[in-house]
Amino acid sequence: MTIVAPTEEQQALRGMLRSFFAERWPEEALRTAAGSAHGHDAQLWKAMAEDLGLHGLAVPEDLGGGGFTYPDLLVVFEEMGRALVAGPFFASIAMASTLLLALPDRDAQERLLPGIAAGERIVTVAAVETPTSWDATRVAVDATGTGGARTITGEKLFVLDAEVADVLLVVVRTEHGTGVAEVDTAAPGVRVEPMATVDTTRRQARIVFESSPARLLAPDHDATPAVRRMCDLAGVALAAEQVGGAHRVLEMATAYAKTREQFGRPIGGFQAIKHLLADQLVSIESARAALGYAATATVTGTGLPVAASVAQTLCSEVFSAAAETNIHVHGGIGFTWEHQAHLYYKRAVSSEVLLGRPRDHRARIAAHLLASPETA
Amino acid sequence: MSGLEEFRSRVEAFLGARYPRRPEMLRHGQGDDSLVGAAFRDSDDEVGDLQRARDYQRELFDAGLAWLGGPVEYGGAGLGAEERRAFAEIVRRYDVPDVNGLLVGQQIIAPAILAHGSAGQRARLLPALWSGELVGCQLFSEPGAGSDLASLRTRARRTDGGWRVDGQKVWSSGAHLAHVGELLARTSPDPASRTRGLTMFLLGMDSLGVTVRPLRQMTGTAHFCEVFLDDVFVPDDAVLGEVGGGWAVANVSLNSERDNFGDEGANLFIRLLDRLVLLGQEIGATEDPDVRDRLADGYIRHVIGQVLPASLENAVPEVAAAGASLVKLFATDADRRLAQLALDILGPALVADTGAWGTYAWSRVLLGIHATRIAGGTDEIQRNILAERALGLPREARSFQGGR
Repeated sequence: MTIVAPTEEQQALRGMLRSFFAERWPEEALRTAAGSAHGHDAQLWKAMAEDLGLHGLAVPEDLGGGGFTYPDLLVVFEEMGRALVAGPFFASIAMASTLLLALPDRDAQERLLPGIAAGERIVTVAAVETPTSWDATRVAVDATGTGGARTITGEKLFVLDAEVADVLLVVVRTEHGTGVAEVDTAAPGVRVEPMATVDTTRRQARIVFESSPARLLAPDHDATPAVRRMCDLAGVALAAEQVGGAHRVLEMATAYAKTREQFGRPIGGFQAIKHLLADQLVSIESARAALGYAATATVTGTGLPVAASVAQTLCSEVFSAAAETNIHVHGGIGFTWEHQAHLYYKRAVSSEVLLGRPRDHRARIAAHLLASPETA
Repeated sequence: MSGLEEFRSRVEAFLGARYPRRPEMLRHGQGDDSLVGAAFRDSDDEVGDLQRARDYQRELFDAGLAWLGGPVEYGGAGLGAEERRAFAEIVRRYDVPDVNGLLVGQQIIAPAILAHGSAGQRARLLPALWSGELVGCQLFSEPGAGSDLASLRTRARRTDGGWRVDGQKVWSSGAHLAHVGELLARTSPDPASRTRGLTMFLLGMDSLGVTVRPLRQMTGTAHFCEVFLDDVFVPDDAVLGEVGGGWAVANVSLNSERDNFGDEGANLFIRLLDRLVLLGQEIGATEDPDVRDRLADGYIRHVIGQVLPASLENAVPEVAAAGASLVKLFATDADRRLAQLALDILGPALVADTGAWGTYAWSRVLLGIHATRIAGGTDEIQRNILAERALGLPREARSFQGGR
């Protein structure tokens, strides 16, 4: 059981991204986007794609990408989670791009990935239909028709950033099991209904399809493995965001505890606060270790489903607890709209349940563990 | 063959020629059902157990497999973390003697000698500790000085050719079997700085005036001791480090001790998660969603416990430097959760022996875990270390210090 240490390139990328977001994503930009109609900053998006090439980082070069590894891309997610960057990057890159790369459909990859990689086209994934099932392959919406030409009718929930998306990848039922259908958001019979969301830096929508024209990708295949792979890889990307966010809120709480004085001394000098923050540090470093473990599994390919669930469970719970602690350490000011603490907390709780609750992932781990009980 | 592969086959060959392999698959009901290492186990032949550990250690030492990370000039093998991990992984598959009784000398005293010892002390003592020739114990805590170690009162006074020591030490694991004690004593009562007046000594445990009394622990075993020092003579060449520089030496030992807690080599508990899974399956508890949830949690913590030390090497420097405290808190919490789950699975069969294999054995774990949250610095001391050194929060108020 090993983890791969960060490469020099990754360390350089991290440093570069930290200065980039510090400069291009100040708190005003975050608040503007969070309060805007779609939660998307088109200017930042353009700079991320054109100046830095972040969107296509892990897309192969012959598909318009940078040809870097998934762990390289995870550095981007960690820094974006830390800076709480709003917008459809997670939807378009961690989910849609990953799903396309996992599907055996070269045409679709050539048609969609260069645009995604250039930041010119925003794509999101519509999978979940009921609040109680996070399993993206347990869908009921049918793709009627034959071959690639299909029609879909039905409803999808919790679709990320659908309002700004150009294309939807809809997980559907087909004669082979699970399928992925490409649907234009502007196509007839597609209605995007924004859902009110706790986290306004990442929007969600209900999508209603009424006899909408759809193109079934890899029409001769069962897409279940591709959808599962997307869930795993996106789960690791989400874990990276969570680790980045968790580090940031611990920094905020620690900085405040050093300067805020009560009873004639900084509150960070009281063990009640010191131990609270020390416990958060233990949790956050364990989450970072889980991320490193899962990141390694994305490369070696062995045990990715379990490693992804390990990271998702731990990073989800750790970020939520750290964000809650941050509010608490700040006291009344932490509960105000003006302070950033709530923005991170809202991202944390939304992320915690985005790709399966921690208990869902633990159920998956338990099934694995009980099937082959040797942990040695 | 790469260096690492070569090393692995060397370890396999060494162990394979001497010790039986443990069964590939752990099975419920098979073999010894104990879940604890020597530190918490009853033995009617303590001296014999230790002798077997020393003989094994001697063989390891002669084969260059004892002190893997240590410098070659003092009997170490000069190898890296990869080899240490490989050795730990391989040795787990063989039924070798439990070396817990040697760990204080090797993991706690030897690092202090390496960092602060004279050339003579290093050359003489490091090979002796790592070959099992010498068994060590720690003489740090006192009845009045636990977490606040620097308040200790054992005094060492100058005399011709050395020092005379008076005082009382406590919680000294294995002191009744040890040859050498790492003794922290006050050599000058400096009210301005409690830590500057401390000096470290390497005390021969057979010295005149040393009385060792084993204390019975809540597990029923008697592995830690109280040690009375009555006008004990310690020669000058037994001072470790500078006179008045004992606090720095103690900190090397304490850091190493904490490191060791996250290490399976300490062998305090044996494969708790595997055993708990097998137990749950045996008694039909694994359909219970709560049990499944908590077993998965145990698995997560098991996996993370294995990768956490390597991950911390890449943390920001202040966090990496306090990594041992972090690993100790994480590891002891993980063990505690498993013990609690065992209690929930077994119910009364954990606290009263039904005779069924591998059930009442968990009582030793449930009792033993409390030691890990106290020994080597309590959880609260570890949290202070993390808060102050890793997060830079204000240090504890000094208002109660000094002037003793």
